[in-house]
Amino acid sequence: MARVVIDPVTRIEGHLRIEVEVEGKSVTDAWSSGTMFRGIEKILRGRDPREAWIWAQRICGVCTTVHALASVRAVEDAIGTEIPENAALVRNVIAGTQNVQDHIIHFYHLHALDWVDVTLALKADPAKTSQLAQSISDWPKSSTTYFKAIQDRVKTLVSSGQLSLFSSGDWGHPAYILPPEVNLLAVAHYIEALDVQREFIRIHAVLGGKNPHPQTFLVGGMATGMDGNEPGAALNPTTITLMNQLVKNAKTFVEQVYLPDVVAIASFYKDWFNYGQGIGNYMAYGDYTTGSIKEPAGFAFPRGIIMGRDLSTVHPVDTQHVSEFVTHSWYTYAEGDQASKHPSQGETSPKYTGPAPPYEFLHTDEKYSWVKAPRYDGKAMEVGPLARTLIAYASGNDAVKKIVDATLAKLNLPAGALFSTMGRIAARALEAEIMVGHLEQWVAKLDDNMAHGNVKMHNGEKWNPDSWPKSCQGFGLEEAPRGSLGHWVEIENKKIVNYQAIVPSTWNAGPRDAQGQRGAYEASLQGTPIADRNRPLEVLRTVHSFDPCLACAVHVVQADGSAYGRKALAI
Amino acid sequence: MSAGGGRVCVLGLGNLMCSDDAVGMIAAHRLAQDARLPREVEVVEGGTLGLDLLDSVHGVSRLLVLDAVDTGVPPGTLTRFAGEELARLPTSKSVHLLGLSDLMNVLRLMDAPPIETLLLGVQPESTDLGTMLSPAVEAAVDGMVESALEQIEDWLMAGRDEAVAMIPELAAPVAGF
Repeated sequence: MARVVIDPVTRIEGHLRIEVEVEGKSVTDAWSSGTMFRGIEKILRGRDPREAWIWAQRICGVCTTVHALASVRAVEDAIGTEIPENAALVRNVIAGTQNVQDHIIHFYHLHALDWVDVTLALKADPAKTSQLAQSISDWPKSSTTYFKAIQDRVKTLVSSGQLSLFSSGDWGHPAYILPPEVNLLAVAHYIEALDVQREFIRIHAVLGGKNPHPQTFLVGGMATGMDGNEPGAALNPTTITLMNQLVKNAKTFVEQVYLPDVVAIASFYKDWFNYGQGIGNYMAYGDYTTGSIKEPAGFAFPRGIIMGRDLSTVHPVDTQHVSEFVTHSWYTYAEGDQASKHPSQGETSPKYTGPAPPYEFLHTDEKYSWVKAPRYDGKAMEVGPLARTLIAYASGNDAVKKIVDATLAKLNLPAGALFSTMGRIAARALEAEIMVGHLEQWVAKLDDNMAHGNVKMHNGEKWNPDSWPKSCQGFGLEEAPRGSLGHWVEIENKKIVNYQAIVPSTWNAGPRDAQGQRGAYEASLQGTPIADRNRPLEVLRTVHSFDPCLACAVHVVQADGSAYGRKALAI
Repeated sequence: MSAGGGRVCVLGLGNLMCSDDAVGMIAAHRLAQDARLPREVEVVEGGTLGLDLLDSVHGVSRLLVLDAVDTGVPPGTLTRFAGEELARLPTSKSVHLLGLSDLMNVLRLMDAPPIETLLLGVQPESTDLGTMLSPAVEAAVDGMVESALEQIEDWLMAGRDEAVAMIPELAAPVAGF
């Protein structure tokens, strides 16, 4: 038995450490540790609830909008206000764009290098790559000349030693099994995806004033101007045309590149439909409606829970059953560390009891993470695109059923294959395809409303704090790219007195609870094969399949290149 | 290669909630409000990096980055990194998706790197949670803004020379001398 440590896990957001126990050629147990303290909740206390979203969106430097959205929803819930349809549509477009962009970036720029060996791409025959590309898609960039040019550009960069981007790959590892031509195809699309995502996210600049960190969220609606006759308004016929074009381009890329690539790569790595199963309980709060956020029946992505991989029943979700444990986290609760607390009563009292750095291993029998352990009704849950897709599938959503079944048929796999590492990857691509379809419709609806003179974007009834109850509580839920996100706020005398966020990666990356139940990463790593203990690429494959995002905090450039996580541990 | 005489962009980096980590963001904000800033220069408050910034820096000819840089010198000290020094800044330990050098590499991969990139840094004292700069770092912000303005002026001059050189009628007499 040996313990293998990966710290920091790269190609993710934030600080994550994974320790696994290995016996023979397989993982027998795992521990997931968030190695950085996130104190956003403390920063929000005492502030005006109407500005909470500005601070909350700084929880993360990448999926910034999702926290802004969850935050305004929490405050709207607390003070009791609804938003106009246009505001719901704009929020859907912003969040949906974020989802699709994130999924593209995740697959090509964060995850592909776990499956694609760049050094093998350099050995590929561009003519054969061209044949392969044309056999799986109508995407026009598929000529021999094109792949030759890409190969030459990558060769030049690699030989000049400038390609540190690709330096985190385990090149030559025996677990890379794609033919050189598939590797070259994926590398070409890695580069194309850079352009696609950069163009696509301009939708955020249109609707949010700027990106990252859009500025147009507003309690009660949005501050996005909408006027068919006003060229200066954020939403006018010109910007609608621009957004239509950007969505169309993204849709073409998802249909002709992203999804075919996922299917092509998955067909070589079919055994990864057997690894990484994980907890088997899946949860989604659900999201995306043009009506009231309090009416889940209208959600495009349904709410629900699947227990024990049983797709025959979708259970309801009641957020009263959400609670967090700190038994194995570096916090204390006034009631004692065996207790679990609902986020509305949440407490963030950090207390680091781990080993003093430098150290070899964490004390995994005790506390070992800055991430709390959320549970639903005492059970661990996996959240994210796979959970959403499974819940939509099991709920009988036609569009989702159709595309999931078609993809499974192409790979000749049963629905049960989705409970896996490769299932997470496939679900993300399928979700991107579903989402771009919705985006088209939401933009069309905004256009239609504008044409009919319906330009209401904000409901100011409860803007004045004098109209609020003396004390009130609320929560805001959202389906962010990585899964179910919740913000809980408590307001007293017009000020925030308590604020808690349970982010998707808290559900997935969290440690064990008081009963010793594993978190989603931990459970999914059981049975992962390991060919080479010094290069645990297979562990990264499963961890990355969740698209880890441990809240960003500090990003000082260190000129001497010393390890960064250490300082965070010393807090 | 990017065209001569093209865009100049200033990119402020940092987390506004991590005290001195925010120095580049705060300097960028002040620079953007400074009446002396030439109108054609874009200032981007980039926050904590990520691929979302790609659209801002794609196609830029000269990129000036403002950030907190830990070189172990006294807090508030201004530092400069260009060329090789900049390329040597570590990337693999970056806590974000993309460190600055990663962002540069992505631009190379896309065949759209800036002609010149310069990083102006300030040594932080503390990067703990907080929304205020420490006194030594606060005192350095004006110096950072002044250095940025000087650099921008140099670049705009260079950009004008390049633009002139690209017009044959104007360039020819010079070449004839």
